[in-house]
Amino acid sequence: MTPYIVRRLASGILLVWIVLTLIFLAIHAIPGDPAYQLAGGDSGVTKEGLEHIRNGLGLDKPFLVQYGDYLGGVVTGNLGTSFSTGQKVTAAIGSRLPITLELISCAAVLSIIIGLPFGAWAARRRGWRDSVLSGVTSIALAVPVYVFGAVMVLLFAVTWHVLPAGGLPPFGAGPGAHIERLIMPVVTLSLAFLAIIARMTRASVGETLRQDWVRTATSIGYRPNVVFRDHVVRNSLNPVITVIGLEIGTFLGSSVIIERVFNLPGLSSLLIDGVTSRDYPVVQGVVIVISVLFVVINLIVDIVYGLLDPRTRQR
Amino acid sequence: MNRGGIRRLVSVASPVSIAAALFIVIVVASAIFAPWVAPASPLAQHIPNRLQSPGADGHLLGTDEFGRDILSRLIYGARVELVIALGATAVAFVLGSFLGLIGAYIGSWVELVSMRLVEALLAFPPILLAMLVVTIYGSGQLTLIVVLGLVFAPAFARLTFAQTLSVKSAEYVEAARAFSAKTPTILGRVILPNIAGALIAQLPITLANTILLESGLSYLGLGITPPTPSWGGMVASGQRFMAVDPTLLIVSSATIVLTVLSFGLVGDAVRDWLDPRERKALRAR
Repeated sequence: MTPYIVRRLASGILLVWIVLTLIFLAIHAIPGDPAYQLAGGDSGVTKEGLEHIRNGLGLDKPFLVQYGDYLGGVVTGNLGTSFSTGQKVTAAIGSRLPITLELISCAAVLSIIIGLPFGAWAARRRGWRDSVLSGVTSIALAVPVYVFGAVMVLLFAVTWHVLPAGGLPPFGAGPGAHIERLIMPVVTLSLAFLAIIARMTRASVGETLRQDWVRTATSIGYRPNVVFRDHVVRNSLNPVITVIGLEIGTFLGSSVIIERVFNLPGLSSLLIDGVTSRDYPVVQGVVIVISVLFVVINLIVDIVYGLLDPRTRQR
Repeated sequence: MNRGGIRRLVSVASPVSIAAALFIVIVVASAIFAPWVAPASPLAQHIPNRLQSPGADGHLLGTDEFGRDILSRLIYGARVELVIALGATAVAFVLGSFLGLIGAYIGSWVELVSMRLVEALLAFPPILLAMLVVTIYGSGQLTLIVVLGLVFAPAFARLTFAQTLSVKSAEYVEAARAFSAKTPTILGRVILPNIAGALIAQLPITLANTILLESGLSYLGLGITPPTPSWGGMVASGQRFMAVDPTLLIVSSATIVLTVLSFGLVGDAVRDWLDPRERKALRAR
């Protein structure tokens, strides 16, 4: 197992490096004069704006020095200072990251504990259960998260007044209010993810159920429920885990939108304000953090994959 | 596709997928004929008439926060939405299948470079990649087409790669090589037509995904710049005024959902129809 983990770690680090380099190139290697484009292109470039961006991003230094400074900064946790607020980007991200992490981990757990049993339930007997699953999940996948969020607010906050609409007071100020305001964002974020997990589980369990060994086990007298619970489910998990890894990117992207829908003070507002005001250090910092998070989650998924299925470790 | 093929497609399609196809036809037609179909200009403001309910004053679906006709904005929004979706899907298709074809057929370092590029693109959450590019180049239809094309190119690249690998040593490809056909000819005239089925099945899904992502960006205010109508932007302003009148929120959300759902359903139908195993099952029914 250890060599497998080391191999996965190495490829994870390589991927992080590629991602960091791409982000660097996107901002520092624009054809022509990067500072000119970054200051707003042909519309409204001012001399001060140009200077500001040149100094702020170190674009006046030689290219390789810029790259070295950038990588060194990322490794030591120095992501520069915000153009618009003057705050350290690392500090700004640090104060908001916990909320984003809380949102995505709650939603991920909810999706898995509902999606897996739902998919398995539909796979056990085809027929109406199947139609329920495919109907519910088709809708969950076609409805954009922000539409879901807005409709939830319309129903539960504006019309029925059962849940508060947005914002998020810190946990310390009152756990009740904090959890209450987290319900809608978490449910909304988990819907699409849940649907994908349920579909994949259904397909995978359905395929496992058709295997010869299942028929053999049942015919020699094992109770179908036992075969299902102890063997079929476990043997069906691999494709589900693969799909979780593939969809994590979209899931993280949805969390950015959800935070805006419900006005949560997470990374999203920082990022969106940064994009709107062309605050490059901030945008760069948030994109780095979320992309690295993405790679790390995929790494964990890979390792779990190896733990569950010894066959994959050999590759 | 010959006429018999179309008849077979219609005969195996479920009523739901036919309804979905019809809905797409309506959306496309109203996008093309927007100036003739729309009851009013999508930009004409009339502040005293703001947030009118459906039916009031000849506005079939009411008005938005600037007193603009919602139906007209939806119709012109369809134009914007479809231009971006088609453009981005075309970019994704061309770029992705090119990378996949050369990667799989030529192999060696070409494979390494093209597939690493694809992996690197996949290492970003799609919306983040889009936001990064929008920050640098500003938002606008052309930027959106290019960036959404980049985001969805990997799906085509992987699909083409896998398909090309599986046919590259087929006898008809060997035959073309034996006739000393040039590599571009083999790729474009021999391999591509033979793997086109799988790629075509991917098209409706990509269209749905580009609409989803674009309207998400517009919802955040980072996609289409107002006052140009976009469905995502309409959902955002509908949400702002939903306590006064939820019509805008409901109709713009419904339009996005129905369009995305329809493309998805048509995509499923096309895939089933192209997959011989499924086709047999359908015919037996």
